[in-house]
Amino acid sequence: MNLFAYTIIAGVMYGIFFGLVGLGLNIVFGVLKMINLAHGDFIMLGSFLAYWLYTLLGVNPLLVIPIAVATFFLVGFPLYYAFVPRLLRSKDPEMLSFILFFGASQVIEAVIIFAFGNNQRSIPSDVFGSSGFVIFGQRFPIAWLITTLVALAAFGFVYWYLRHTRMGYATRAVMANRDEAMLSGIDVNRISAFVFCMGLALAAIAGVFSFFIIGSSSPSMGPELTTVSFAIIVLGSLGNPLGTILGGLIYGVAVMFMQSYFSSWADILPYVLLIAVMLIRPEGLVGKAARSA
Amino acid sequence: MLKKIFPSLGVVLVVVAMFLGLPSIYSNQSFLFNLMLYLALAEGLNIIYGFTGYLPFGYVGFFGAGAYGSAIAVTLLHISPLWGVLWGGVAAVLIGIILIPLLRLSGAYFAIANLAASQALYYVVSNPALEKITQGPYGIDLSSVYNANAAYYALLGVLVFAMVLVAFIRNSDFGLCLLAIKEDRVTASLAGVNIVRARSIAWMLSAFVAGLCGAVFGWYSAVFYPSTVFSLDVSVFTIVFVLFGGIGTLAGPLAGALILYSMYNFIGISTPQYFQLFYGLLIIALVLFLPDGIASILRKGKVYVP
Amino acid sequence: MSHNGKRLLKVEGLVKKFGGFRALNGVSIDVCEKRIVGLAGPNGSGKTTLINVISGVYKPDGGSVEFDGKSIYRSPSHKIVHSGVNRTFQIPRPLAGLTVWDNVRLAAVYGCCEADKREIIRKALEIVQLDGLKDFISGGLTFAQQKLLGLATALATRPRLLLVDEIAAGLSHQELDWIAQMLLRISQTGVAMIVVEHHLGFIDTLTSDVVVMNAGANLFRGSIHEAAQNEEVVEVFLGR
Repeated sequence: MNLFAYTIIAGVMYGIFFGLVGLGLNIVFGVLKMINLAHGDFIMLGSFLAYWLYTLLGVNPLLVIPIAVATFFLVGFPLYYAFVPRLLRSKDPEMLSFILFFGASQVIEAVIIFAFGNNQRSIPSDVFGSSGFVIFGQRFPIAWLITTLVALAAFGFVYWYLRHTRMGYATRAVMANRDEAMLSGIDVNRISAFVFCMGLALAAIAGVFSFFIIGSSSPSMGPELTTVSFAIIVLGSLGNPLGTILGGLIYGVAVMFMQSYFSSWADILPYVLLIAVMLIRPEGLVGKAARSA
Repeated sequence: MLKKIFPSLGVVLVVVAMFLGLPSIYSNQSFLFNLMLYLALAEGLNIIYGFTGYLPFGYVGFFGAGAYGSAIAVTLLHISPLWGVLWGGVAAVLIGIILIPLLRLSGAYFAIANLAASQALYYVVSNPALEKITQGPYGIDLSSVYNANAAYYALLGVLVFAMVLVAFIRNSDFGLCLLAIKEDRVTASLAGVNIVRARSIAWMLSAFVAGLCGAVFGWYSAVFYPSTVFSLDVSVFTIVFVLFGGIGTLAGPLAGALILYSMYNFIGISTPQYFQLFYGLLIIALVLFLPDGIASILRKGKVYVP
Repeated sequence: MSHNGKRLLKVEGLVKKFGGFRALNGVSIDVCEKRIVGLAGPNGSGKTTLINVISGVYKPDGGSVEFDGKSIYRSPSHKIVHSGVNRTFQIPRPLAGLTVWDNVRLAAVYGCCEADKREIIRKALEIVQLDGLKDFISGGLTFAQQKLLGLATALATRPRLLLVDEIAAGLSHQELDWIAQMLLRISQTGVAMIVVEHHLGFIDTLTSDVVVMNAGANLFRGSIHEAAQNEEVVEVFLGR
């Protein structure tokens, strides 16, 4: 019974964090209808930013959040304008963007290996203090609580942005129908660029806290994180950012159950989930179709 | 029709002559073997990606299935490694059949689902719970049947098979039907094409080639691990080579693999990141400036690319 | 209603939904062997949807479709084509990267069981008078030529029933006459047709048997002249 309770609670926290891992990918997909195959590498970049700031200057990971957001907005805008408008005009934006972002992911991975070497890095989990906290008789490290709260705050921010700001309103219009949004006078390119940067920044924030949930960070962890993120957003529903948290929760609880009860098969879970959902209910648990013929 | 077969035949003969002749001039057999391996894989991937537009990011799954299928047949059933190669092809086709439902997904969704499938297969094969059959993560030891020269020529046979297959598809009604499906499924099915059957056949042929390649690779390596034969790098390299050369042709993927793999061998093996950075940038440049590969430059100059 | 000859196509109570919208709401139509039926109706009345459902491009949600006594309800397109039905598109969709010849070759090879493929391709191109352009890439043809190519492709599958979707739209007067004559010639070789058309004059030159649809259902069947005197028909065409 103890194991069961631990599994559920850990699964929920783990899942909320993985919701954040998928959130940036989903928000970019919602607006651009492109799969950012370098998403996992942006998470990795976020984690290396945090690692570097922590080991060199002792910056607390919580303080890295604003730095990460600023950095990725600065990087994101030129990236967006260099590639995306061109891709949107091409004959097959979906496939070509997929391949291009894949190229970008390889470039990022190679550059980080040059800079940091191909090793695992970590930030000690007692950076927020060594005290634990207790839920329903189960003890967890404080870093888990902080990570969960950060992830929830990120979802809260996205909710507030989409529902209660003018730009969020325009963003929802672009998500619903890009052409019609353009015809009704919305500056679609500006919105897309902003949301693209927001997606990268969210990925980076997930990266900053990845140490505490995943354990360590390595330059080549990008592709696997991208696949897991994709599984989560397909579960939650593609293009619906807030549905991501649902996908994350299902994924988190399922992973924890596998690890507790069938640990040797736990690694296979995200992939099987992804394939199963795409074949059985490709519109996700609350959304639109991604399948044809 | 015949006019178009001769250039293809010429390409096949040149490649065969090259790999028969080179070992006597150039002693690095392992390089020649790996080069041939990527030529064959590139043609195999070309069957599904070049002619139908399905991008198999998990192509390595078939390669690994072939390596393990043949190794298990050789170690447990004690058949000869040459027959084992065929078993590898069959194992990959079986995996291909299981994955046929993925072809209902389109574009990038297919690519990701296929990637996930190859990862799932990797975790199954490397699972310690299956140690009795697959040796789990501890790898396969085929050193009792090791024969590098035999494996080299077996791979040449596989490469010839893959090239002839692509040349045939390119010049046949079947190839026309695949290209039609790629362009417009509705128009193709109203021309009477059974889309599901045609794309499944292309998929299984593509899987078969990768399975044969994986089987010969296992034989040549003598000892291999799940992490080697299911390495995502195999998919990635093959895709990059095919994209660079030009999809849907016989010569494009060959040229792409030949140029880039040789380059990899000179700049990449000791520090793979140099090559990774290079092909990452190359992919971006191709998508932006040359989406149909180097073959399209020749085609613009009205040169027929076999 | 004219029931001369064997009934080839029998559609009854056909329903097609898009979300909550019923694009076809119980439409019925039948076509006898070698006959031409005109299909008219205002925009959005479901004419093209009906063609799409009969030809298997869309899957219906209710009703029945029988061709030559066998159900083709929810069959895949290629099976419907093999049983002897084909269609043209209002907005042509050729295989743009392939030559005119290869477009028709695909249909002759996969859609038709007769042995002499070259002859079938040659004839189909001759009927629509595209034989001079056979080596052109079809993406480079004019709109009208692409429509004719679509017709040739359909003919190369040797249909017994041809569904012609607004072939006259966007063509000049001379071209209209010429196309009408072409369709009549095709019909004389024993091909039955449903000709969807906005332009009633065009239908009039082809047949006196017209079905008028409105809101996904049948409104009227009879001759054009009777249609012109039918109050309901006049109302849906002119709006109230």
